[in-house]
Amino acid sequence: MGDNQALLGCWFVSTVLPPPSRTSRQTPRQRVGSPPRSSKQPQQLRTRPKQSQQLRTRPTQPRRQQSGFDRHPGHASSLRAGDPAKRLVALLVIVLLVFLAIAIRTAYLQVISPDAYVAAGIEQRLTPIDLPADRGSIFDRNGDELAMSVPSKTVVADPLLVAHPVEAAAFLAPLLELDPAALEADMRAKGRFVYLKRQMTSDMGERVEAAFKELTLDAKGSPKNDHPLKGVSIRDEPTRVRPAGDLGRSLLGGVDPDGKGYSGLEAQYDKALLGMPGQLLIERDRDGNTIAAGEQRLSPAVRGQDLVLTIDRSLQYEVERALSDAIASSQAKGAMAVVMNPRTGEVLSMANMRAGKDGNPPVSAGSNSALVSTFEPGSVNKIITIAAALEEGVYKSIDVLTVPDSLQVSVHSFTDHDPHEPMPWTLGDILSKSSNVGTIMVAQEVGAKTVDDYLRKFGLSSFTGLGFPKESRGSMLDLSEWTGTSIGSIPIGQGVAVNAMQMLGAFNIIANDGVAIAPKLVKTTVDSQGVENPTAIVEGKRIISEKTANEVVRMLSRAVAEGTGDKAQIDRYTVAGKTGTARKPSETSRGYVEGAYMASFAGFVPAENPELSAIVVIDEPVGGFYGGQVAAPVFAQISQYALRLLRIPPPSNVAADAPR
Amino acid sequence: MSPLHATVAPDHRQSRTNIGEPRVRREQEAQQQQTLRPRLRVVDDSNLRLGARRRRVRLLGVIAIVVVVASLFGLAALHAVLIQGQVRVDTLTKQVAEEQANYQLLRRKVAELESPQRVVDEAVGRLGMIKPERVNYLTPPAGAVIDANTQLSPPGSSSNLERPWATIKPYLGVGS
Repeated sequence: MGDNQALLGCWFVSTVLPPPSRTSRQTPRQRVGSPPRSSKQPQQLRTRPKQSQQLRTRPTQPRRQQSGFDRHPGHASSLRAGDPAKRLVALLVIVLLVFLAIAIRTAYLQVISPDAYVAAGIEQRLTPIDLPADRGSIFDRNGDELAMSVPSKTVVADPLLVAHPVEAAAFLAPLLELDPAALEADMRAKGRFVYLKRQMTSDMGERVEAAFKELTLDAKGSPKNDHPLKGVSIRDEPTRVRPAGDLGRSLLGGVDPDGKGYSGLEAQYDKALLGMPGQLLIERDRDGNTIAAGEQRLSPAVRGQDLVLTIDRSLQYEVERALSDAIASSQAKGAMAVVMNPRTGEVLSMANMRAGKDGNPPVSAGSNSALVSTFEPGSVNKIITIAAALEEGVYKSIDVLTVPDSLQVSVHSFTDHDPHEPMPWTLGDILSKSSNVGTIMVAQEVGAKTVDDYLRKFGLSSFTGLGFPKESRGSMLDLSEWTGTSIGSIPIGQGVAVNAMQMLGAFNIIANDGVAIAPKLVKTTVDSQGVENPTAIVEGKRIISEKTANEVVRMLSRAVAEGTGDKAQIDRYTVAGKTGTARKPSETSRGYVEGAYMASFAGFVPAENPELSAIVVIDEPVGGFYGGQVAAPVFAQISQYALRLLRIPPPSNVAADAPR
Repeated sequence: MSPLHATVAPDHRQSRTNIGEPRVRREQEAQQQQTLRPRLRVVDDSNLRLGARRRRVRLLGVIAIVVVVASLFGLAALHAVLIQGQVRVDTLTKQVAEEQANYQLLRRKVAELESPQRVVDEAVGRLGMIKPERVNYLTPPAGAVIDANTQLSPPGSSSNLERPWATIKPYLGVGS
């Protein structure tokens, strides 16, 4: 279009307009429209040859020379006398044609098909700026950050615009701590966008940015036209950080570089945390400056919701430290623990640790085993059978059973831990001594169906309600699948798989006067305006009577005071709990792994008015492998700290100097 | 009435009443009047009006030019002010974004400094903290009264600091 106009302009000037004259200041219109020249005008006529001489210098001159004007000078004046009229007509026609063409084109552009040009114009002026929504933070119950998003720098390249890939790679490689060859390959890749280094640390980001400025800007701060980093740029990109390091890593989960949660709470609450990205449309000039009073359209980004967990950061740290010590001292493969408030169902700590490789200190486990993994609970499961017997009235707490040290059930002979003569034991004795035989005898009286019912009522084989990603519901045989030995193995916690949270839930029912309270990991969410939305409180569900629950509490207190769980005692507090030691099933074949145990202890404190419950599970301890040996001390250590941290006073009826 | 009419228009009523007076006397009077009164003529003011009109046009032209020039200057000045304002807005926007980013980084730094691992490392490594072998509990004497001004957090809470989220949230990021 522009070229056409230029050509038309040249042609118009050279063909239509009269050449400039030094002798006459008349306008072309005056000359063309003047009446036939009088005798006073020869001078003007005499100027014509000069004008035609000037015309000879123009590109159209050769045609004129061929037209015969110059070959017949004698006819020149008579022919020229008609020129103005012809020129006038020609000019009018041309002007009309040009205006008509312009009018048609204008009508076409403005009325018929304006969209493409409107879009092109908008694209030229309007610059869309994406406003990423800040991902919400995750806080502990006291408002301390556990996970947060912070701005970081990312280096990107447009391979099509990269002019000096070798120089750019050589310059960037030491700054980005990357291989120059790999960088160069990235910059030569196909496509229009490639990441060179994402989400740099703040130190690295500052170094790279300073180097960029030095190389790409001149002394006045204006961008250079050509430099080695052409096609490479730095952009802002938020990155997810955990200020407390790996604290609670398995629970919190991870976020990929694109800001999407892929595990743990980050994945579970991804939608709420993500927020709504916004966009700013702004008119900018060629240099990228905002056009004053230009168009601006803002769709503000909405920050994601924050999560306020029920977790206490300090307690989480102490629990993880206690588990690490336990793993180190017992040379275990790993350990997990859950600490809760049994009254509210709030999870105060959920820790998963595993042994470090090659003798390194234990590290935070990648997955939240307390919810995701299952294990055979062993003797901690006995409380359900005892509670069922009491609740169903099969036995009273004062009833005495004669308990031998072994019992044949179908094809399998079950034994107690220590050989003993047949003993007159109450249910409390059976529990405190963790007698397998006594528990199986009780279960046989209660009946398989009732035992199965109570196991399920206590939450085994059901999801906890936390909705945690990849949570396991455990496994229990259907009653129809029970074998002859099932009535012997299942009541003592073998042949049934639970996760740690489920088992602690069973103890919480006992601690909470027989009412099941749904566990809670998220206390509240806080929206972008600071409005809190507390997690809905789920109504508790009564599982057993308060009387039964209190009787079991007394039995569990005995189990700690004088039974297998004596290492769980805490000075000046009454602890109720139960030890558990279970063989680990083989992952590759039927049966159990020889010498591999899961040692556990679950309980609550103060037994008189439980405000804290916890379960500790040690995976494959070496040497002492009983729950009372390796898990109970950890329970005591954790609970002691938690009681102090949460300012839970000892019961007033416990004497200060009473030996524990 | 113009002077021309005053001099040439005859008074018909007077001429009718003076019919009998001698003609000579009237002529003399007329001659006398002619000699006493200056010779009057109609002034052609078209040039004056044309000049006045030209002056008015010129004045209007000057005023129009002044107004146009002043408007153009005003527009240019306004545009300059707008651009300056936009530059200022851009600068402030950039500054806000930088401060916001800085705030987030400081939040991170505070959180890192407060992290239990760092506190324990500092306490053990630098200040020589050791773990007690046992915890000693102090029992207040029977009947002891707690000072009403003492701020105690409720049991079950590990912190006595209650921070309202609505006051914290606006500082957490853009878009709220």
